[in-house]
Amino acid sequence: MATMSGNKNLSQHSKIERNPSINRISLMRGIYRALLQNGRTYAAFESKYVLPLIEVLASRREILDPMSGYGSLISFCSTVDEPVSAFCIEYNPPSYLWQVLINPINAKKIIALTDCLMEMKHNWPVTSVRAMSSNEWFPPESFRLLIEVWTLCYEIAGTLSLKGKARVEIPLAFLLPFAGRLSACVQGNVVTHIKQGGLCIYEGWHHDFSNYIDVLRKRIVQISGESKNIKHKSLLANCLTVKLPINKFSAMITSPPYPNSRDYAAMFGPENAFIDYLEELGMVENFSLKERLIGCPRVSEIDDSYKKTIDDVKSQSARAFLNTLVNYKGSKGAIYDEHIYYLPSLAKYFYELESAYENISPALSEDFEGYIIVINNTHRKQMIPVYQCVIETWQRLGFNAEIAKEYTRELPHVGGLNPRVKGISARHTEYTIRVSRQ
Amino acid sequence: MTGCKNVTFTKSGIIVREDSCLGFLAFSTHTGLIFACQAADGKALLKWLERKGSTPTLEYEKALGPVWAISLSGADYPSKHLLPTDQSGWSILRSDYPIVINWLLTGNCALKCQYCYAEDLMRGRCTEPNTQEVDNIIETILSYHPLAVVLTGGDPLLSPHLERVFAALHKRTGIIIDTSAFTFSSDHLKLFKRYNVFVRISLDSEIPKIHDKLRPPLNTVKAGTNQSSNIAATNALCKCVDAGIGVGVQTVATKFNRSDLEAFGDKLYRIGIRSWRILIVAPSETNILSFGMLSGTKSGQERYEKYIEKHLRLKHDNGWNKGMAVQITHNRAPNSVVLVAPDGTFLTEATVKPQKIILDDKFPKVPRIEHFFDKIDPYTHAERYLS
Repeated sequence: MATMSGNKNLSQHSKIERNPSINRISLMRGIYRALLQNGRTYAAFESKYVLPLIEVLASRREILDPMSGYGSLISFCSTVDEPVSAFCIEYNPPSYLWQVLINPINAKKIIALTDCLMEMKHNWPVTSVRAMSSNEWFPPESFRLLIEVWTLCYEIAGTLSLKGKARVEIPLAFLLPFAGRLSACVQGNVVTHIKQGGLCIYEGWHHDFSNYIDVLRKRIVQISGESKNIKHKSLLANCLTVKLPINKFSAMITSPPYPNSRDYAAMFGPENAFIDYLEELGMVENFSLKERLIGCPRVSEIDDSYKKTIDDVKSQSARAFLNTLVNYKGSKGAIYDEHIYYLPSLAKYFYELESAYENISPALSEDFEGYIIVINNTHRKQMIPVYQCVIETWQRLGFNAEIAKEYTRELPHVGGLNPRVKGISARHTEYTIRVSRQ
Repeated sequence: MTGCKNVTFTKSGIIVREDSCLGFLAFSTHTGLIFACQAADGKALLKWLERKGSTPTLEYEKALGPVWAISLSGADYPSKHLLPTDQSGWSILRSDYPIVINWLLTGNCALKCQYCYAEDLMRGRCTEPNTQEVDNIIETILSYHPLAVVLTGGDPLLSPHLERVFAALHKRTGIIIDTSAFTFSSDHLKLFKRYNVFVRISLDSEIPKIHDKLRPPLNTVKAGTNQSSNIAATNALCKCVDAGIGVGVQTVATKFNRSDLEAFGDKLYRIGIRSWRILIVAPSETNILSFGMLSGTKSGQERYEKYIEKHLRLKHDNGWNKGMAVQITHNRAPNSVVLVAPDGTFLTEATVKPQKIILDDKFPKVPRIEHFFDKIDPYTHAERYLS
């Protein structure tokens, strides 16, 4: 199960043996280290809470996730006994490409690509530079190396008879998790934190690349061996605008992005910058992120026509919450922050969440049943009423929507790195909302 | 006594001095690290360092042997630089003579660092020495048998006497140079190699814009040019590592870089840096106004000091110690350092307020050895260099 922005992921595939070379010192990006070795990363659900939902819906044969993140629905559906497939929509290119990588239908192609690449080790580009610092995501030397590796991967894809979309998508999905290793970024102590600029170390990068290929290959071999259902679909599209066939889906398991000031595209800053660079060079097409993701807090980039206010939000619960922010009483600085940052970003969040569900709803069939997993975060010691907004929105769209108590649970504070968070700020409740046609 | 009361340069590149309290003090020109070794191990130690025998214990080999006896990846540096690490044998931590003397060779510097502790002796505030004065200062410094002399400033690379100083100190004491490397050239590289100099380059952040803000080039301040002190430092680091010169990094932890230090350490380790010294930002006479801005709130600084201490130690013990030593220096005892001003005056930092004080008022340029530790705390002086 995953959000659009990729914050929920859990593979039902068993863990692979840890390769001690893929650690922090390997300079591989933390987010991919976690995905490669554990099959999961930031704020992942536990399979025991999601698999029962798949069991309930398995007879529908196809389950939609319009905000699918890393595509853990693919992993879950791959390993269950019933013949069921996942249909995942994701707008963040690196998350989407991770789905391509873990989709069992691509396993043989990726294994063949890695094998060829290892055989052609003597063709890997070399550099005499030990390290280089930059204020950008990539120093020029990194781009040179990456483009050479990309070209090699692309040529191998040609020899493997990969055609059409797969010719570009498979090598790109393969290379992207490693691209960050050659970036100039500062990895924070939380997997979601990353700063642009820093030192890129070239010393030993061949060794790290070999280790990456080795770990990835093991993961893909395992996915291939353990998957019972292999026909899953992934779509790189924005759930706000994607056009889906009317009444196509009778089942859905999804989770919205959290309104927790995480910019999920920025989490993949180096990867998105690399994709943009490939597009600039004309080497790939239609992969770069064109618009901001739902929940993206960069209000400074929002022009007036795109800016959303309380009046744009339809849910009463969300409007009431936003009004408390308008009347927030705190220090001068805090009030300023509310008006300039939190209010517009949260208004935009609620507006876009409602709009996304509105856009998806015509694709849901008459016998539709779905589950939406929501965690309520807090802001200024108040719960952000995401689950209330979700229920209201679906009811407004003519669906039954209610909390499925058997799947709802209280969580301890998930951001446990900050020991000072206490009380309501430390309380997170995970709600599972059952949605069905009336 | 084994006859090395004076500083001895051994064939291994390790410099040794016998001490009545600390047994043997050893400075590695390869890693820039100083260790105190138990007197009982002295004979075997010296034999080993002269390449005539085997290591007293494996601990010695892992701490003092990297580069010349074992590979750098075989290193395992203890967090306290006492050998053997079993602390029962260590009671008094003070030395007969200063362990390290910091010589501010010149007041000239191409940077204007925000937290500079030596600004009060720089840019014409203190007389630059002529050749004769440099020779006199060298002989005075060596008369105190320091295990190592740190050439600092200002930027010592800007001193016209640099080679003369290297040649005079070579094999008589350990040489460490502290530099921003802003004016570093291939000529410097040759000098470092010829005179076994351990190079310590100042690098506060791997992100150029953060580093450059903390350590802006003087001409940037004056003329608005756009040279990056970070890029110069990174290039110099790489060139030194490539040339096989012992190189370390010195980082001043401020609120602008402290949250990035963990990731920074990973990169330094991967570059091949042999020791990383982190100095917690301290107030000085000239930076009092900016100190608060650099250190953040008192509670924030305390919290981060604990964080840095805990997490960097953890990272060190679980990975970096195989090749890179980490030393964290607080400013809890400012009077632990011996400073020599460009004009030859011996100074230390006062404990009451941030300012420099003369070691021996009667003989400021040749302090009497019996008064040497009147104003310097000998215990914190030893602790500073032995972690």
